[in-house]
Amino acid sequence: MNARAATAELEWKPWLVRAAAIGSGSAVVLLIVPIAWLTILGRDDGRIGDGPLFNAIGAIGILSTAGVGSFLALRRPANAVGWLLIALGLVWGLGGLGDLYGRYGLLARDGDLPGALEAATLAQNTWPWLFALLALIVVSFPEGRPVSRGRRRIAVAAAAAGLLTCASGIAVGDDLDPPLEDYSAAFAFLGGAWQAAVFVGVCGLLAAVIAASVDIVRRLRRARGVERRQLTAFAYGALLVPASISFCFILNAVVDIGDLGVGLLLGGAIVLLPAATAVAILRYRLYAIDRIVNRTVVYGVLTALLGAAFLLLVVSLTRLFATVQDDPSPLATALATVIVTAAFLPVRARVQRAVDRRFARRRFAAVSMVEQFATRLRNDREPPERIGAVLAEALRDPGLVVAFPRLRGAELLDPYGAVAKGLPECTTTIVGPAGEPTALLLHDAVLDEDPDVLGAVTAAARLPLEIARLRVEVRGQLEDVRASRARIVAAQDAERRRVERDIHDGAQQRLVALALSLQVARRRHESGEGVDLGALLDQTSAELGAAVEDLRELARGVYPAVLREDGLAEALRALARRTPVPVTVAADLPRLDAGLEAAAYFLASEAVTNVVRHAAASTLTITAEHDGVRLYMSVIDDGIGGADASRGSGLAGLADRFAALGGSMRVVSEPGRGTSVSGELPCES
Amino acid sequence: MRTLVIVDDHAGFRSSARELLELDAFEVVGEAGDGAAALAAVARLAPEVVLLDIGLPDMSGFEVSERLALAGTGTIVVLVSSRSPDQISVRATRCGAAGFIAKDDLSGAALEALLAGAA
Repeated sequence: MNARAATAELEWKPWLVRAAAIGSGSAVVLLIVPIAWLTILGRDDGRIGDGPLFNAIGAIGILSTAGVGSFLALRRPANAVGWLLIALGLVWGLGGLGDLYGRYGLLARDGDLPGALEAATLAQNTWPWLFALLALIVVSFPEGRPVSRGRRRIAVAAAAAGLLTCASGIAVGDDLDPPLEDYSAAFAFLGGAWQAAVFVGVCGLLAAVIAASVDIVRRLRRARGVERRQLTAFAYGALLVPASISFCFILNAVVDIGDLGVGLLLGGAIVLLPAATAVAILRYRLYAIDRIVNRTVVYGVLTALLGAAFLLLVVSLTRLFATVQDDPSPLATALATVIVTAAFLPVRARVQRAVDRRFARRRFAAVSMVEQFATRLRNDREPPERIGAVLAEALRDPGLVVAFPRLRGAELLDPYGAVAKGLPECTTTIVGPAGEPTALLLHDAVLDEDPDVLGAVTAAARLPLEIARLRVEVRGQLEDVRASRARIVAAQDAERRRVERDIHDGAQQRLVALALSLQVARRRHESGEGVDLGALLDQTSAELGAAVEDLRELARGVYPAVLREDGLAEALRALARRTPVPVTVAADLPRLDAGLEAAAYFLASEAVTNVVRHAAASTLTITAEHDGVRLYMSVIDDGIGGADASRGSGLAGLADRFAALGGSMRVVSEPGRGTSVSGELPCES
Repeated sequence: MRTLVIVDDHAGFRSSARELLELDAFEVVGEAGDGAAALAAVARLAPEVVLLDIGLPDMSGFEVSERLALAGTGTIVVLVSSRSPDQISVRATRCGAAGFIAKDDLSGAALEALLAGAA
């Protein structure tokens, strides 16, 4: 039956699953009652229990495996790991109970309890199942069943070897283990030659356990993302059990922490494996597990180091002061406290680095790569633009792109100021406040599965990113200024060409034609032909008048005299007077800086020229307002709209002029809704 | 009488020039306001001389002159402009034109002198 079918069936009868999970778990937990009872009955006989220490450890182990197993089975009934943990607790509990019952019955009650020998025999043959179940749990983790052919083979081998070892151990029989070495096993119906089967079974068990261990290490190496988290949590649990057992024994050898202390420590260690298993399966999205383990190790090591330093200091200082005064201990304690306190932070930093290097190698390597870059950056040995390449290398995502949102314009820029583009299907991580991000990282979605690494690396990269962003911004502004300067120069040249053209086509042509007609008159006069002097003078006077008007027009276009002499308001009224469309002018202004007045005036005159040429407007309103801080200019018409502000150099040149004065201008021109050209300039009157 | 076509986009100049040159025994056989019309007029009228303004709306007088030279019409091209002579491009000497006269210096005598020098 595959897992999907199992799940479906289990969903069908949830009460049954719940009952099975709770019932089997509780049954195992209840085994503690007779175990405790037998322990109390046999407490005076040293041969019956293994002492309070190992009883406590056993009890904790049974309770934690059954408890966690039952919890897992309730939450993930389709996952075999929960049920296997319950079975582990059951085997452990039954083995312990049978052993105690056998010892109590045979040793304390001289065999008058029923089935004591049988119970002892069976109990002494339960151990193969502990190993077989362990291997089964490992190969079933975390999917809940052995999903690959290799893992299925290990599972079958473990179960077969467990069965063979257990069954042949019972069937062959022999003397029981101490302290029941004087008794022979209960069911010896096979000859001694079958001892070989026991041997084969043990070898099989050993092979299965080793194969399962190798398999999980290989899977851990290959795993990515969520599976890696699960396996890591599981591996931490598995690692901490033997580690804390060794630590406990070493500690007990150095300082007498008493049986209770050892019991608590060992019990705690044994609880870790099922606990880590449960965390891995149920809460693998609880990414902080790495950090919790990391912190635990850091503070554990720190406490041990500082505690030892403290003790050493108190002892040596006490000895030292004893030669000087009678009761030196408070002083010695105080001094030692000060020294140890002072050592706390630097020692903590070192321990943290050491632990990071060992337990969070990836994060450690990535963060230190970025930190080293930041140091080289401070020392001027790297350009900040390299931050993108450094982050790509640190996070092992060659496609990673650092992008800065530009203040103006929607496009993203990379640290070199080019348009930034992430790979298709990349995800975005925002660095800095969401409203005003320092930078965006466009990266492979797989990095999101390691938010710890990503978070630590981006935190370390914050300053270099900020520097790179500022450089991009400054470069962008510089480019804008350069472009605007070039446009201003170009506009100036265009303006000169226009003036040259106007002179050439206007006044100059009129004057040339006039010169020719005067030549004709002279030739006629010389040749004695009659010349109509009145007509000639009328024509000449008219041509000269027209030429003067052309030149006036030209001079006004270059810089209106009324603007220079009477200011913006009068110049706007003069502009209105000579415009063929009716114009309303609202301008009540003091005299302002000549540059500002000129910019505002040319905005109006350019807009009015465009309206007359293109807008087909019937009215036009020019408004100029000054609030003491800024000058606001607008020209609004009721024409056809649809003007393109980027077309035609006149308005673009004006935008540069406004920008150069620290102001801004804009054109709003929706088709059919008229056109509004407006601008504002900072100015103090 | 030499036949002449006047090419200029300013009608005022064309009429003044026609009046002046006709006094000096030139026969103005046609006028044109831009380069295309000039090419058509020369092809149709085959004048001895074409008085050609440099700044025409559709193409420059240089280009008109080059095309006439390529077409091998035999018409003598005289460039005119209201610009001062120091502002005339070096193209004036390479476009096949016989010479240049500033508009305000234009007269039958000046034109005759230039044609005599070219011949």
